[in-house]
Amino acid sequence: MSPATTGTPAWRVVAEREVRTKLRDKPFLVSFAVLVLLVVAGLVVSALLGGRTSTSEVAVVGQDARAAAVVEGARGLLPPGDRLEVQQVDDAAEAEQLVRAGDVDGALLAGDGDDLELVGADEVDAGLADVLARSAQAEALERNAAAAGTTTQDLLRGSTLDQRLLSPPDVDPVVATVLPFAFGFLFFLLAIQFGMAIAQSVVEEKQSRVVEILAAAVPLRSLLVGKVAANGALALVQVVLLVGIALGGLALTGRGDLLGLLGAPVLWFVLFFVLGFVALACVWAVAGSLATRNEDLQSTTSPLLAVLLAVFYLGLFGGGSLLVVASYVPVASTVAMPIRLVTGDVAWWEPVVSAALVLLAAVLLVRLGARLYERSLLRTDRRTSVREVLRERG
Amino acid sequence: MTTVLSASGLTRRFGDRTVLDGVDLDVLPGRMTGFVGANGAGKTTTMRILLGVLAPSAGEVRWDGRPVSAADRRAFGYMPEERGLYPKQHVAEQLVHFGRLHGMSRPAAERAVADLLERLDLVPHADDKLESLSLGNQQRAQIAAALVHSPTALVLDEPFSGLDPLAVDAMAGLLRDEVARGVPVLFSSHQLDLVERLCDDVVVLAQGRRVAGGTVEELRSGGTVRLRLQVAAPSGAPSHGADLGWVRDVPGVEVADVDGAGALFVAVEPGAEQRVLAEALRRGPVTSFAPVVPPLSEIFREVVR
Repeated sequence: MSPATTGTPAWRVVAEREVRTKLRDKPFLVSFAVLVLLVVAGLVVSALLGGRTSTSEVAVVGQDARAAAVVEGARGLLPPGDRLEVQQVDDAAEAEQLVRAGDVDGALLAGDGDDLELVGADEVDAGLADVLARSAQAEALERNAAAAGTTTQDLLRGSTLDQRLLSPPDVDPVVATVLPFAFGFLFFLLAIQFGMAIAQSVVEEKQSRVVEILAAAVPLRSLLVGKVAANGALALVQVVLLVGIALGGLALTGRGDLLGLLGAPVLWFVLFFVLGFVALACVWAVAGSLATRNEDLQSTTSPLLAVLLAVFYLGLFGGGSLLVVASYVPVASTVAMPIRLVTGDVAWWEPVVSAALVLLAAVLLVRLGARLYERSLLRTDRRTSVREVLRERG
Repeated sequence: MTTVLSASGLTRRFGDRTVLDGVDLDVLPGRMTGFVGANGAGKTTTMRILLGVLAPSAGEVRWDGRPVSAADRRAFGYMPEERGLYPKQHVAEQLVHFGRLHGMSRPAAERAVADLLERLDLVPHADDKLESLSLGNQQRAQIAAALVHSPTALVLDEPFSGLDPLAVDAMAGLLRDEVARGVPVLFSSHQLDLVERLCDDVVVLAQGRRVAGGTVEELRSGGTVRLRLQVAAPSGAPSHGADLGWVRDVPGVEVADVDGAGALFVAVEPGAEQRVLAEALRRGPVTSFAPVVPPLSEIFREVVR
């Protein structure tokens, strides 16, 4: 052993260079920033749509203690975030004037007999009418119960109505449509981004002829492992960051209830993402090694792009038995299995079996890919075909 | 360091084409070995096999007397025929990368690169992208990539091609330094005068076979030694007036060329040259009579024919 063999393993030196180059690459950084912005924008929009609050204003005549009590009671019945303001006026005429002018949403006045009356301009907001009516009922019930020498609780005893569903409905329909798209889109985008990065890095070394020096210095396997490890790690970091931002954002915007529902499928997605990416990584490297120039990549990577596009569309439009089958097909399962985990009931062993299948496929594809890569990498004179490389020995 | 890089019976076939056929090779430590042969003779293929870039169909490469390992090769230095580095990476940074690929630690690689840039006058370009360098400086960076890790053996494919005379001298100086460290150095070249000047040993390939090899002196003495006779032209007569045509009639002599007052011949029979000299002296004054040491280029033409 010469003293020169004390350094870092070759694959790590390769991976380090790969990461360093990527982190200095402006288009790479910009595209990551855009993805983060997209996720944040999605969160903001959903928070705005989902958590929209309203404030209503009701005019009440100053001396009418009962109306004031009803409004007070109605406040407790409002959906979270909504507010109810009281505008005190001197008499009913003034209240009606405010309603007409649109300064208040309604006026709660004394009506016929003991009843109350909700006055609106051309209509009364149904939500507002509902809470006020319920509050008025409760107030009347309490008052009449007291007059009859009993309490509301006694009067209502035995009236509780519990609910039990035999077939509860599927997940929140928004989640059910957004999530498959998110999984599919994320996998599609990152698999292509980092797959392309592997192919480009391979072809760059071929095109600049530096590959022969590299091949003389280290085993080609180290070169391949370094590239796959570096780009795989970068892809994983991106997925984890994006998913983390999304989940953290949900918690912050008051949709923490979704976390319990999404947690497991998302973790499975990250696992499937890694396996699916590794399975394809060496195939990307082969696509790079078959080309001699960057321009050739378009044709050598097109089969990969087609596969990824199919996986993406499957996530968007797949359903029923198609989705079940897809959730066991390696690479397609990256998107299909997490979708099934969110929307349907899946036995505990199903994702495990499916993950094992991807792992198996990854091992096979990595082996085959590494062989093809090693054979075609040093042909710098022209584009090669897979068939040609397979035919040649050594 | 007394390690020999050797190859025995190297054979390489591409399909049914045999480009290398049983080539033997010894690159001795502390000696410079020149590798010559026409285009397509198999020099590049041999070098690629030595470095493990290409697998031989048959034969073996040995280092230090045993089959060469990947770890051995990691410590070799190589400059391929097709030059190439990372065009978009800074010079110093990528040299450090190559040093680390060859197994150096980062600090050691950084020190070596600083030294090397100094020696090669590349310090002002250390932080430039390779593609922004002049062609000459790119060549220097290329040789730096082969030397950064103080290789245990050095193999260079046409290191002098495309260099201007000053750069040739600089490159020769670098190779001499490596040889002085005791490293075996093998380089291929079409410039036979250069090989003759620089090399201790020469290996000649023709059509995938080794056709000659040995020290430069051995090769030369192995060739046919020719004699040149030069006589004084008779006064008043034009130089072509002195006719040496009689040399053709001396028994045991084969004439290569007669040109007025000069003749180039080979003594096929031992002692025949003495007869030529005696006869020449009898006819008039002789200005010179000496063996002609053939230049390597002539040997080369002879052996590859």
